[in-house]
Amino acid sequence: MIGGMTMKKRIKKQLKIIYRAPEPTNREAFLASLEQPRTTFVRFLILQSKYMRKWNFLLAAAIFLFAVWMFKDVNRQNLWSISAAVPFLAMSAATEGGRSLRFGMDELEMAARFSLKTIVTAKIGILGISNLLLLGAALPLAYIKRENVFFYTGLYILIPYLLSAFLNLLVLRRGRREDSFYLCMGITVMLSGIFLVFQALEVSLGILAEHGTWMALAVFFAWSAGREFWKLREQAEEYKWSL
Amino acid sequence: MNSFWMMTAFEYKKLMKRKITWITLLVLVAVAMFSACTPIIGDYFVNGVRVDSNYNMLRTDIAYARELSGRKIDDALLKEAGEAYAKVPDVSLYVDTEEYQTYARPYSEIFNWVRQARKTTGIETVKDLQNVNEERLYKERAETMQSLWEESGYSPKEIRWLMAQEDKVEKPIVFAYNEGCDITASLMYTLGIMQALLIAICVPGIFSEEHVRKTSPLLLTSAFGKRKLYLAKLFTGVTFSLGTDLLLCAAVILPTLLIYGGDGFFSQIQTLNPLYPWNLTAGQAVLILIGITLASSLLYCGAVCVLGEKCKSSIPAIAVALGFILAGMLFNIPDTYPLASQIWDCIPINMAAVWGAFSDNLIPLFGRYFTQWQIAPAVYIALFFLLAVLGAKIYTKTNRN
Amino acid sequence: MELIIDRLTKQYKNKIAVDRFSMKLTPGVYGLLGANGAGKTTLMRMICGILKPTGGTVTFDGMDASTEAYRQILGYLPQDFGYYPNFTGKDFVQYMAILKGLDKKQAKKRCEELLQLVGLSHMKDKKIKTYSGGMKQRLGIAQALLNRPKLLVLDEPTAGLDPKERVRFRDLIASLGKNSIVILSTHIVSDVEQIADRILLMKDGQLIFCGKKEEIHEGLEEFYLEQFQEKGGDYE
Repeated sequence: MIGGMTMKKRIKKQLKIIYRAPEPTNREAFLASLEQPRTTFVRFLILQSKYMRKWNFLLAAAIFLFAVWMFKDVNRQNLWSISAAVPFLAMSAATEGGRSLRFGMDELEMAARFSLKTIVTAKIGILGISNLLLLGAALPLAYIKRENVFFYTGLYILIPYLLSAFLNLLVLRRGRREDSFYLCMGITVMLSGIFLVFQALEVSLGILAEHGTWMALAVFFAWSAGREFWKLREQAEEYKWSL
Repeated sequence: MNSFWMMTAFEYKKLMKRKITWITLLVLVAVAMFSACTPIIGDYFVNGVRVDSNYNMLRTDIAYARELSGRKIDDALLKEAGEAYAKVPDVSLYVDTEEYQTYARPYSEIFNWVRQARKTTGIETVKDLQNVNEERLYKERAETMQSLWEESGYSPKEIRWLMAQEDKVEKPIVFAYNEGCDITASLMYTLGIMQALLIAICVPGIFSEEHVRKTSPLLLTSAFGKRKLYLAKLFTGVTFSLGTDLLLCAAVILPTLLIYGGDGFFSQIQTLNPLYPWNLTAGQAVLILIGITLASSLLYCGAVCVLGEKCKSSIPAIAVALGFILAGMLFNIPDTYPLASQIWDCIPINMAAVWGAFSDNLIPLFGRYFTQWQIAPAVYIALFFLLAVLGAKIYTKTNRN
Repeated sequence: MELIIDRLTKQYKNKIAVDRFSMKLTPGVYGLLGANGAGKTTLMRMICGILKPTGGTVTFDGMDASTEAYRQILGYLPQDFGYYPNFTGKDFVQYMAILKGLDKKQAKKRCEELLQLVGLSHMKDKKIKTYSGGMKQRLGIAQALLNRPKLLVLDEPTAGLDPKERVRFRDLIASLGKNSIVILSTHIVSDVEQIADRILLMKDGQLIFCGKKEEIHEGLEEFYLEQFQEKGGDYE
């Protein structure tokens, strides 16, 4: 039995030497004519998320933990500290979406199957939604500490996030590619600094809780941020023409 | 020399052509002006009921304080104030009573000053000004100061030195209306935050932008040499930092002067805080704080220039500046670690605050004691020069062909 | 297999960058020549669907240039492209493979193949920032071939390549041109002369010549210079 198998192997080997397979012709043409395996959109999103900078997620986790720590004592001082940190979440999402432009990959990506528009939507969408969910997850902690503080706390967290998102997306859409990132960074740092100044001055946003003013502001900033995101998507469809 | 000024002019042109420079300047100047106006915005409430606008309340209090300004806090004034407060019913919301508004409110500044001087704890009541005479007040004040120094762990030698400073202070303290100086001094803290941000956002780009835009090879082939280039850039950063600091100071001081007036510049610093042992005026305190912010600006400028050149990017400079600001605001090193605590108290963000600059902490040097406000600015300037030399080394090394 | 460009126009404010360009292209290599500012890059961008024309259409076998199906058969090498920092050569090609819709396994295999083809196998794990200009260009060529494109658009593909690499590149393009439509633009006339089946000359946004090099009686270079000679000035 074993001898028979060894014999088969030897014959096979000898046959391979005697009868060499001919070199393939028109290999490329044949392969090009075959239906290419397709990646689904969901699979693409998963793969794309692996190319997102890890520090975006680390930053989100750090700010979440910071918010949890600040919520140990729900006072104006600590709420302003969270307000100062939150703009960076929005900035990280916006600048992740703008990376293609920043590093000159936009032209290549626009010509791909999953084009730049899809990439921008995916990146900003994934990060934007995950950041909002994370912030939302932190809010109940404030509620546990102080009743009726849910909307009040939302003031200090949601409005800075939405305002920062709006400003960063506006800069990305309208700024020059070389300047955009630094402009986003500068504006976010300034926004954060303003909230730190408000903390030092012990400014209260409680007045906005009356008459639903804060709701109106939140809706306005959310609408503005959404509009800028939509326009950025549309802009990503076409190369920025310049002479 | 002409070439140096020409290069500086070009550096300024590059700096001022950047959108972020203008956006930052305009926004922070607006915030500085807003910060001076916050006390007059909105309304004054007692127990949820609107009493008056903050502005009207302030005008009334300013008028009362100006009437008392120049009077010594002595037996006569204390007796007057005590009799006025004795007419007010002893209830928890006594400020809401008609008797308070009619008799006691004109003496509210004296009331607050006496409470601070005696470090009275607990909820304030009308009885806090009863049976207080000049001798008792200043004795209790001295005892409070001594016990605070002992609690802070100062040595007997330090306490003796502080008491010697306190002995130089003219007593009885002359009350003065100096709300303008008081507000300006307290706003220096927020100004310190804004100045740090302004420098971190605008200045590192003077060095880092050459790398980002890949223009450094072109610059280095100029006939003027790397040293002149570096000096022109550094000079631009320094003058911009100092100039914008003065601009922000003006943005804080001008509205404050308009709202509160410039009274009390030569009044004793003890009118700002009764427990200060320093023989300084309120105006001198403000000028010292401005000087501290200027020295801090130099230090920030040096640090961000080095970071901008070393990292070839503005981001590390912004991150470090913001980190320091946040850390300074959120964290405090307890006095149980005296050296670390003192060093932490001397970081620029803490030194810009009136309670940081004029703290009782002493720094022993060459057998003498110095205060934080004397030493810290000198240290900042010395560090700036060290950073300038380090920056020059990095610049020439980075750009060596 | 046919690429139809029908009266393609791009106007920007008061300048017409591409002026009613029309052509039918079938498998082969098309060399696009023109002076700076002639409109070559604008035309190529419109063919790739990344620039919206002011007028006209571009279709490949009935598929419009703005569709995903069109981009699936397209390979494009821009004149100037960047890369994400810290990407190695392999990372870059694999990333582009994912964008082109290849699955992970296939992307890995194809990446190895193409890096071997362009002679960058030994550099695949090194960061792109350490690459020379020619290496970056070869990397760009590799990514353009990932999805075995039926339409290959190459803008200045030989820029930065040394003579040996240029010869290799010409052979590669010649082989690709047998079964695909290849459009390459260049200033290097000799590249076009060697491999292009048809020459396209553009001037001021218009197609001024379309034909085989045999139809040009003098040398291509002389013909090219003749077309682009400035009024009152000479190209020396």
